[in-house]
Amino acid sequence: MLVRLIGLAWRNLWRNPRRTWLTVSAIAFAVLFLVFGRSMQTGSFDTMIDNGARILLGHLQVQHVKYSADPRVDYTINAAPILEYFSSRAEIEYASARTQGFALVSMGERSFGAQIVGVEADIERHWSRIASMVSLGRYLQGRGEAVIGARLARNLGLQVGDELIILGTAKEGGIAASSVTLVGVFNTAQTQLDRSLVQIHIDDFREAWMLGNDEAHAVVVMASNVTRSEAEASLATTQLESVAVLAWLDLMPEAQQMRDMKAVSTQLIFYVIVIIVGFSVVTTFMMMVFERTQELGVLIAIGMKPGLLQVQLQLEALFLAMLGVVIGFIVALLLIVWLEETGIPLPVQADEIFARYNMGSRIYPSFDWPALQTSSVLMFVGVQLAALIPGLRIQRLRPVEAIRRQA
Amino acid sequence: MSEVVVECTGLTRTYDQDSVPVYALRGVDVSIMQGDFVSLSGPSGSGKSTLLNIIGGLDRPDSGEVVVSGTRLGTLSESALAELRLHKIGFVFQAFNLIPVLSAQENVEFILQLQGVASAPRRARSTAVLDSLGLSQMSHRRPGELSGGQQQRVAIARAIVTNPALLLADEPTANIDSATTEELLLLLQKLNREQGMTIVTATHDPMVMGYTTRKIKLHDGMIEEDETAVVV
Repeated sequence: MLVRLIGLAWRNLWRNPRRTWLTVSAIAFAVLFLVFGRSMQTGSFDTMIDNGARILLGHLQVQHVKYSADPRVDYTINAAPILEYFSSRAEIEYASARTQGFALVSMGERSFGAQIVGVEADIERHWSRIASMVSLGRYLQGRGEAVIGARLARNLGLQVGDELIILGTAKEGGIAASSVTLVGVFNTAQTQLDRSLVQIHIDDFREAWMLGNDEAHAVVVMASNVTRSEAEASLATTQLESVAVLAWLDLMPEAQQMRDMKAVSTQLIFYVIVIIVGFSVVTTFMMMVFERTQELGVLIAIGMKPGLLQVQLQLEALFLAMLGVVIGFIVALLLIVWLEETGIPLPVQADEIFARYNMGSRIYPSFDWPALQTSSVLMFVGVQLAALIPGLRIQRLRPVEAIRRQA
Repeated sequence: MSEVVVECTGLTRTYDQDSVPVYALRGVDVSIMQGDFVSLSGPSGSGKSTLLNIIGGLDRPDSGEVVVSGTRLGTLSESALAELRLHKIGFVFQAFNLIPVLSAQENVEFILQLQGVASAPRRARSTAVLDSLGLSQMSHRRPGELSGGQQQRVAIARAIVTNPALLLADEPTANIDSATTEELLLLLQKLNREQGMTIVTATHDPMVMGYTTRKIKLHDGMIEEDETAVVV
C-alpha cells in the first residue's frame, strides 16, 4: 500500500505543475537565501579573522605555558622540535620562530617604549601582511635591520636609513642593547601596532637578549585556512608536550567576542527570515491541500482511512520539501563555489572602514554546511506541519461536507 | 426470505442555512432488503441525497439509527466507518470522482489495495470487472481521457470490484447523455438481477426510476410513497 501511496503522492504533485513548481521554488529560495546569507557571514568572519591573524599573531602559536599570562623574556621554548612537528603537517603552510620583548627605542633625544619582535623574515614575508603594508622603504631582508610602525617612526622623527637604538632587559636580568638601521615603515591602520611595533631579525634579537640559537618565545603557525587551524591547534595540543598551544580564539579574543556578538544579531535575523519564508511555504502548501478537500473527501468516502489519507499528504509534503531543498542546495552550492573564487567587491569608498576590521576589498563566502542542515530541517518540518494542519481539518469534516466543498 | 441490508429508524437531520434550520429528514423509517433495487426520488431538498449519505455513513443523523449489514453506524468512529464502506458499501457519485492521476485500472485496483489484496489477484479482479463493463480497451487511460459515460462505468467498476453488500449511487446519470444512461441502467439492472446486488440510487430521472424495483418518494424530509414493483 505504501508503494501505491508513494506513487499517488508523486503523481498528485504533477497534476498542477505550476502550483508545484511555485511551492518548490519557495522552498528552494528559502534554502538558497538562508544558506547563502550564512555563507556570506561565515566567509566574511573567516576573512576578517584570517586578515587579523596575518598581521602579526598567526593562526596559532606555541608558547611557554606561562608566557601568555606573564610575557617574561625568560619564558622561552625550544623551537626546533616544534618547527619539525609542523613541517610534517600537510595543512600547515608556514611555521617560524619568533622572539619578543619590550624595550626602549631611541633616536637622538627621543625615546619611546616599544614591542620588539624578532622574526624569521624570509618566512614571515610570505604570509605577514606587515611585509605588504610597508609604505616607506622595504621589509626586512637580513640582520641589522628594522621595520617600525608609521606612528612610532613619526614620534621618533625617524626616516628610512636612520639608526635606531634598542635598550631592554635581557634574559636573566642583563641589558639587551642593539643598534639597527631602519629599512622600512609600515602602516597597518591599527593604532596600537603603528605606535609601538618594531620588527628586527630574530638572530639580532637572540644576540641582544642573550637567547640560545633555538630559543624563542613563540612558534607562529599559518594553516591553509582559519577553520583548519582550529583542528591543527587541537591536534598540536595533544602532540606537543610541556608547551601551550594557542588557537586564534586565544590569540584574538576580541575577534571571537565580535564574532559572537554579530552571530547573535544575525542569528536573530536568520530566524526571522526562516519564520517569514517558512510561513509563506506553509500557507502555499495549506492552500494546495485545501483546494483538494473534495477529492480527499471522496477518498475517505470510498473507504480510505483518514490516517492513511494523512500519510499520503505527508508523503506529498516530503516530496515537495525534498525537491525544494535539493534545488535550493544545488543553486546555493554553485553560486557560493563561484563567489568563493571571484568574491563580491565592496564599495571603494568604504575601504578604510573595512581595513579597520581586517576586511579586504572583497568578501568571499564560505559554504556554511550547518546552515544547510538547519534550513533543510526547518523546511522539512515546516512542510510536514503544513500537511498536518489541513489534513487534520479535513479528517474532522464529515466526508459529505468535504465532498461538497467544491462540488 | 431476504435479509435486511439497511435498517433506518427515526432518522432526522437538520442543516443550518444562514442560521435558518432546514429539515432534510424528519423521522424516516425504512428497511432495504437484500436484492432490492431502490430509487430515492423527490424534488430538490426532499432529503433523498441526505438519506443516501446517512445510509453510507458519509453523514450522521441528528437522531435515529442506521444499521447496515448488522452494524450500527452511530457507534462507529470515522475510521471504522471508512473501513465499513471499504468492505461493504460501494459508492457511485454524480461527478464520477475518480482519482485523476490514476488510470482506469489503477482506480479500480486502488480499492483492492486499500483492502490489502495481493498484487496478482488484485490485477485479475480489476481486469475481470473492467472487461465485464466493456472497458478493457481503456483500462490504461486516465479519467481525463475518458468520456463521461466511460468515467461513470469506471466508477461503477470501482464500486463493485469488492463485491459490496450495498451499492449506493447519487444521481449517477446526471452528467451523462440519455443513450449512455440507458446503457448504465442496464448494467446496474444486470448487477442487481444476476448478482443479487442491493442497489440504492438517489435520482430525479424518471428513466432511472423505470429500472428500479422499489421506488421510494420523499417530500419535505419524509417518505411520501414506497412502492415495490412486481418483477416478471
